Amino acid sequence: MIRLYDYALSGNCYKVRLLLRWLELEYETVCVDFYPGFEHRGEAFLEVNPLGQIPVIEDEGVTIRDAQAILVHLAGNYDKSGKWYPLKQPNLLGPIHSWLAFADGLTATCSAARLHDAMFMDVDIDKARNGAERLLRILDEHLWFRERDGADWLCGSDHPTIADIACFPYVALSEEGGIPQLPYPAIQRWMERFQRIEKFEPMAGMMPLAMPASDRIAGNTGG
Amino acid sequence: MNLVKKTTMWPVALEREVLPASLARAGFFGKELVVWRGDDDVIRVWEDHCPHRSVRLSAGRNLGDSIQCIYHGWRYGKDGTVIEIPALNHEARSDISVNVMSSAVAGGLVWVTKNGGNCTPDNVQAGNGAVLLRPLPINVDADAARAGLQDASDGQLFITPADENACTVFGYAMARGKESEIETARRCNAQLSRLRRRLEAGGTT
Repeated sequence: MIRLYDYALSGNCYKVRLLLRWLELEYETVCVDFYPGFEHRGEAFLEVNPLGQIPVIEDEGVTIRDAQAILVHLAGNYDKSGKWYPLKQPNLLGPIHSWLAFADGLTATCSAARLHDAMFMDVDIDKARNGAERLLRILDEHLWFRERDGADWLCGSDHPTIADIACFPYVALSEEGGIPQLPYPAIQRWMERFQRIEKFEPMAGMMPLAMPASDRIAGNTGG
Repeated sequence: MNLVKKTTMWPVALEREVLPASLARAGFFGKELVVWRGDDDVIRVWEDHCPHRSVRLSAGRNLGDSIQCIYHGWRYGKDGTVIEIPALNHEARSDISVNVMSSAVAGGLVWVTKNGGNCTPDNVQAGNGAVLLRPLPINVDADAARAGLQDASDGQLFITPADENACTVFGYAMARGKESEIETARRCNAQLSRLRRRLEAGGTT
């Protein structure tokens, strides 16, 4: 069975839990007390991942670290629909991977600011927030023009991909790091669409209410 | 370009981007606003605070006939008054209301006034072929933005102060040659983004 080294308040662990849920995969969890226990820096965990980062999965004797790599592994191997990581549409793989790399940038900025504010970690907070603003502007612009093309998601046409899963958590949690979402209306609409995906489950810090159904997106409502 | 200066009303959202069952947010002179479309297709603009415990309403739900606050479930009907308090036998309280902004839709934009005056936008020149631009947030005050955007595009720009240090640029542009709507929007968005980089770096032209 897949084993996930997990921490409830980590957006990078949450994105892996979300995909495991959407792919209906069974897994067992090893809880890593990231804060205040700092177990990810302890001897035992460093043998699992010498980088001292969560999440990690073990699957059929293979250990995979890095949240984005784990998404690739899970969707690539187990997604029967072939939509989350569309290997049969190679033209989408480059764009998807560019957003997976973008998600690393969100970890370095949005997530770092949240670790500073919520878990008192040593972070250059101005640099983190300024960097986050730069990325959120790029994301908002991309999503606005995607809507104008009638598209809901970061890549592809009719279905979200692991690019959306990779980018969603730390964007949705950005205000916990003092990074406002108010200037980014296209991002807000994308987050609402994401939360309406069937069987979506929030994590702590996210809107827990069920969203009322809506089938309209801004790109195709005339005007 | 026509940069509208003297005005008593400002755009806060694109009309087509205010979706049913959804809640949009906007900054306006230091206030936060929630913009929502009811099941009657009417767009309303309120201050984004629950009068009960001041949680922002945009974190809650648009139920079509009302907005429900995420915190204690208070529901505010279309006129802004409380129509249900779940913990008080689901009572309505018509004496408690959100702060309702005077608003109107014109030229594809949602407009609000500052001090409750009648909102009748009359300076919109969205004629045939005018393309609505992507709203662009800029981290300078509205006066600096107005100075820095003097030479922008060939349409009409409206600058809405978000607070003392930031604003949002709304506007239209005309297509050039055989440009599609998206191409016009992309060209102007790129131009305004260049001007924004200059403005935020401290220059004005």
